[in-house]
Amino acid sequence: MHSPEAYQDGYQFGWQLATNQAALPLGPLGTARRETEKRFLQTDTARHVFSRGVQDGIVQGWKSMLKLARKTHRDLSVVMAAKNEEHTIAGILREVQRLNPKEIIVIVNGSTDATVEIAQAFSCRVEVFRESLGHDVGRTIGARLATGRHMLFVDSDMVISAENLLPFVLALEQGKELVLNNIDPFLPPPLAWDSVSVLKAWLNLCLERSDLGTASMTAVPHGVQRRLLKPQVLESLSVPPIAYVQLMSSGVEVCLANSVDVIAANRHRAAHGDKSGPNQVENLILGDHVEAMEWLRQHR
Amino acid sequence: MNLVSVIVLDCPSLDGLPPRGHHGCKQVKTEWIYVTPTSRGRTQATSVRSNVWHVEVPAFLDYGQDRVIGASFANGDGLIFVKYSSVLNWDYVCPFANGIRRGSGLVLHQFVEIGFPDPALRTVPAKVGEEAAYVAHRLAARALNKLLGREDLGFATADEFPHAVSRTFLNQVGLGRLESPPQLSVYAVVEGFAIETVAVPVPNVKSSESTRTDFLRHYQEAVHELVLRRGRRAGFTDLGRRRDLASLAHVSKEEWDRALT
Repeated sequence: MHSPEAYQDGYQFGWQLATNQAALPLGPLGTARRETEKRFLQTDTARHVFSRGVQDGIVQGWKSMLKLARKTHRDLSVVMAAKNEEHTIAGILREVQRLNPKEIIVIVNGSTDATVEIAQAFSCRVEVFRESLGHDVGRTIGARLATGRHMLFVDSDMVISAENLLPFVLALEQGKELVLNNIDPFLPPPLAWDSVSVLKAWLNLCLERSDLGTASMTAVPHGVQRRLLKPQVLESLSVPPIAYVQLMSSGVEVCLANSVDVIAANRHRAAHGDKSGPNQVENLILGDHVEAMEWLRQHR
Repeated sequence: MNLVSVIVLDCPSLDGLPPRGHHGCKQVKTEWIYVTPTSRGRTQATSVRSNVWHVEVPAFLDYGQDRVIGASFANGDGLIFVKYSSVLNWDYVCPFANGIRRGSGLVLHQFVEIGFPDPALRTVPAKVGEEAAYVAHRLAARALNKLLGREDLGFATADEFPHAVSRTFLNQVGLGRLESPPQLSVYAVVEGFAIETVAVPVPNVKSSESTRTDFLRHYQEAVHELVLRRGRRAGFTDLGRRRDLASLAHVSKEEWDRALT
């Protein structure tokens, strides 16, 4: 197939994919890749051009939906925790605001930079804790304060575009109970995965949901219906894999809404001197999974 | 080391000396125990030769119990567990005996990933259809090794064959522990026994009777054992999480507001 035609075909396919089926069961990149392989195995160029067309089409589709859906997210609460994120928090808040949510709750803890001031400049609820609360505790506090029916959790240290967040919101509005980020398209083959991915996949195996790959509540963005956040789950949001197994064990309807590359952002964070260090965070996540495994063993 | 016991599991019904591996029987200082599942309801052991036992076990035994019964007849200072279908040559079993001789408590078969420089050491799934289960098994093994702080062990696990244990290690943990193979790695690490891996060009044979649920259960039990020994996070950091604040999720709104102000 001629290249411009391949691009046009891909663009159209991506646009339809985004507008007709906002919550893609396997994420747009995964779907697009497979679709590409199915239809354009003949030449690498056509495959590449088609793939680019699909991705551009998806983004444009979401942009158009964003305009249409501008006033419809009145039940959405966005929660993020922040600690010394003056360089990124404005960016993510700007993107989140484009979603027009009911409320944005920022839990600033242990910050010594201008994070609080920047967050307060946006129209959002900012709760400030002088001491550090530790990883993910801000999620529990933010979720407890939230009033929207749908909860979207993001991190304040990586900017994700509103277009990329939209599928999560739409999936929640369509009634999906737990909406996760499908990061598998960005990972190498399973036998070459890093430890954290291995643990996440193992947890899904134990939950008899190997189809979910490495998806989990450890990775942002993810969303959940607030009615599911009973006190036990609410507390467990501080240790995301436990909240995940609790929700999954209660039989929630889970959906992989989109594929957002947070792996590159995490690598960037590690390379630029996260104070707790990459190994420390990795060990934290491994410990979280141990606790989740134990919870699962005790409750099955 | 005076004697090595080779326990050959999942043997077909045998009439006299087993055809496979019998050249291994000629090795000095080895004892061969062939374990055959039968429809009989009880265990029966027959001495075929001075260094060869044939043990018939009920086929309906739970996963891992044939291993325990086979081991109960062993007199060796090291016990090597192999599957009948994977005993191709004594040369492949020998490195495991050498591992025990070097003082390791547990010697595991190292999975060699496709693409390993030496093509002779490649191992691939027997059938493409089994790939998902195969990958799942590998993931579980690698995850456990990571939790044990032994990432160097890669995908190695006592859930696969061949593997070997020393008599000292077995005496310490007890015969019954052989029923749950992944736990052997946990015991070896927490009790301070050396674990060694051996890469031999033997097909990776996972326990045929180990169903998906079975193997996951065994790995979960292994994690539980680790938790019992090292605490609820198996020794991994919590990075100063304020769990006291998170637990406020259970209190009333008034108490919550009071606690946060």
